[in-house]
Amino acid sequence: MSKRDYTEFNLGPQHPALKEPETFRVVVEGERIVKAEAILGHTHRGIEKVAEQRDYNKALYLAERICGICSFAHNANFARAVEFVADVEVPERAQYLRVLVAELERLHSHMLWLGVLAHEIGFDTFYFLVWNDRELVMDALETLTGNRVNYGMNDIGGVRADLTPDIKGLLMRKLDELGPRLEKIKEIALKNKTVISRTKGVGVISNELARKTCVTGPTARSSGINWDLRRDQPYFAYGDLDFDVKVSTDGDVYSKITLRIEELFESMRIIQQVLEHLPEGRIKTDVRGKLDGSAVSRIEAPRGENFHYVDFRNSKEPYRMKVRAPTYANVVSSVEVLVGHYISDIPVIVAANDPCFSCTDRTLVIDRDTERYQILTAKELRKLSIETTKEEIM
Amino acid sequence: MISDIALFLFQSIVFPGVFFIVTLAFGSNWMYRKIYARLQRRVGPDSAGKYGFMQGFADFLKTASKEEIVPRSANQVIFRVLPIIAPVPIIVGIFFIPMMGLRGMISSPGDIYAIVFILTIVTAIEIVLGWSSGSKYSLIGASRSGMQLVSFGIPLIFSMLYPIIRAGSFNLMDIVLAQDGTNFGFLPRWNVLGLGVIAFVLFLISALAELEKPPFDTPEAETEIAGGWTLEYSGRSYAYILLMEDLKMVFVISIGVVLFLGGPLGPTFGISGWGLALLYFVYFSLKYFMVLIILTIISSGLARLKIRQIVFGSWSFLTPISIVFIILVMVLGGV
Amino acid sequence: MLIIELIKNLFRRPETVKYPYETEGLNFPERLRALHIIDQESCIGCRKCARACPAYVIEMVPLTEDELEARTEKIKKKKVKPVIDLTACIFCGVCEDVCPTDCLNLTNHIVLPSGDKEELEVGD
Repeated sequence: MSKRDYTEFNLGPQHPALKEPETFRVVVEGERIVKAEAILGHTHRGIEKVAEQRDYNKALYLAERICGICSFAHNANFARAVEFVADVEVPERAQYLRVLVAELERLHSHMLWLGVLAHEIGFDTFYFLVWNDRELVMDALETLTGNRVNYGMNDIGGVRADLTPDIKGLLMRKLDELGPRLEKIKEIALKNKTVISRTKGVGVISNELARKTCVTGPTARSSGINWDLRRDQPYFAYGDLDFDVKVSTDGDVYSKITLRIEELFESMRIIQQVLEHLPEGRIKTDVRGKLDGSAVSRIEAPRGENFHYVDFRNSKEPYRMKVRAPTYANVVSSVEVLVGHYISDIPVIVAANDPCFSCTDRTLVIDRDTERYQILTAKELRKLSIETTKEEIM
Repeated sequence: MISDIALFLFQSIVFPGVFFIVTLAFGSNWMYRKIYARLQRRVGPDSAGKYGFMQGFADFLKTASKEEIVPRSANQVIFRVLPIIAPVPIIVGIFFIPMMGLRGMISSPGDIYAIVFILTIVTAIEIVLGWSSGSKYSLIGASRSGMQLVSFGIPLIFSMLYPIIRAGSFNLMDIVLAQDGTNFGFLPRWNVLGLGVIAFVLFLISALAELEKPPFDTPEAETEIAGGWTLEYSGRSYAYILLMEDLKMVFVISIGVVLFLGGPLGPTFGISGWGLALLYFVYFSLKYFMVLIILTIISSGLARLKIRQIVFGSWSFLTPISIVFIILVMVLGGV
Repeated sequence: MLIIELIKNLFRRPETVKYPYETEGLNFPERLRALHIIDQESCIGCRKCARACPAYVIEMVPLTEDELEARTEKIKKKKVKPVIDLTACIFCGVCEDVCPTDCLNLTNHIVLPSGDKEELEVGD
């Protein structure tokens, strides 16, 4: 194979297919991809470091701003980690309210994803139809929490806003309206011939690859990994609620569409149950003073497993905060899968994991040697870091 | 003599000449976008002029007033010159279309040859435009454009053969006249009513591909190759490219109207002279916008296809059907 | 079926609200956190809001001579007043939660654009 058969080009950091700055460097032969790599780190904002300078009540709002879509997941996860350290009991009503907002957020996130995917495959009509229906969920969230995106719903030890009968009635109405619309979306998405031709058999993440690259969330569940923190390690009030975890074994983009649409219906069921069985009582336990100790909290964000670690050393400011967002785990798998596909498939495969690079880019950078195309092993990395440190000291 | 020349100049420049054609192009652009938006429950263009009717014109002016950037890697001469002459062949092509009467502005025994030639040259211009920008995305877009031409050229031309066989002529006026009159006293003898409907469907599909509208917008695919062959153009060049795309829409849809829907034909109510010309034009516009709406609805309901699927679908599905259909028509003797 | 839905859509009213020219169809819930209003008459200058603000946008400004004169009995110990810089505010509503006298409130008035930075300072 001579060298001139190949074309190398960058998809991103500024590209219409990517909603956030991220580079995918692909080498193509004609339109077929022979090599692909992701270069992350364009939206690094140093949130973890900034959090170390603020007390936990303020860092809570910082955590919320890690991601614009799954803001509640980060916010609630941070609150939960701090609650572990403070060793407080969160009132049951607050737990249920957290589930309510988390599931509403899952609804809007999955619908957003459906729209984005439709846009990536050039099906703009579906994109607008889905996003139009998504406004119902956004309105519900706005009425309940006071904001469309960064809800500010959580406080350390509980939630800030209660569910009044008025808002409950409004949520019920919105959900009743949403149900038939979701049925319609399901029918359009799963039966349209062109959607099937663009997504079926595309970007298949095999069970093996899924395990190797440690994917999470719907991406993992579509590859046959039966894992959902909501069921397997119940947090908030999920233990009391009845819902199914959908699993598919195909691993392609079409199965991800099917899976997420089914998850939409499960979320509707969960919200229905929460509204019916919301216990009475307080919504907040106060947390005050300095904390000591560290804790890890994991919750199932719409895109996958969300990990927060906080460490307090007899202070109000966290000594260390560490976040691992689901996209970071998922993007590796999509890069692996790209090889062998065509240029048209890049946006579909990348978007299929619901990538959120704002979540991802905080501290780490993937860097691969472009010319020799090798992944550095842990040993080599360690050696490299020692060398660079030495150089810096010299 | 002088009045003849004056009339010809008036016809070629003002109505139904360049001025009018460009207005029609911008109008079609507005119509397409408005209907596309309404199908998606959006408002669409609504600020420039009444109901946003001047949107195409406003876009053209605004784009033309912007800075023009020529990439260093581009072929300097072609990149600067070609966009300006790109709309010309299509305007010439539209002169062939009989809009106001049974005869177009230009008429010759071989109209169809000229039209097919212009349709091909337009795609060729797109390929060169993409190639001369020197960007990888543009190159991919240009190669996709070429592949689309190769795939849909045959079904397009074969679907155009049906009206030709039926009229027994390559002249557009003859083709229009062959569709005059009615069957069973009420059904117009348009090519689309009858066996010709197959040819019309083939034509619509190929026309969408020629126009690069969804689901065949692969050469410009925004989310894949960021605009394809149009990517590097800006300012005045891009304005001309926008104009070219709108004109292409007028051209291709007009061909469909003339070949399959009887062009400007319709009940005349015994009117003659300028009144008849106006009436012809009204009929033509009605048919034109009907085809435009049909194309818009088709393109809004489908996802963009991959270039492989387009080539495969065309060669294994559309081309054989068109060939079999034309052989059938030939055997049956023009039906 | 999509095609039926599409043709229905063609005759339905578009969902777009032409904000800011129209506001019909928009909802402004009670809980919406937007423009702050500070009632300086009942503010006691306790600095709680400034300390709690996650974005550090509340500044406690010393009262001017006139304002010191105009203090009522209720706030006679007040020496500073809160001024909120809305350009950097994250609209979390924590200041409202911690305010002991209920003088600082977030309204649901969302129309904030302004060409003048001074206008985006609440409390002055």
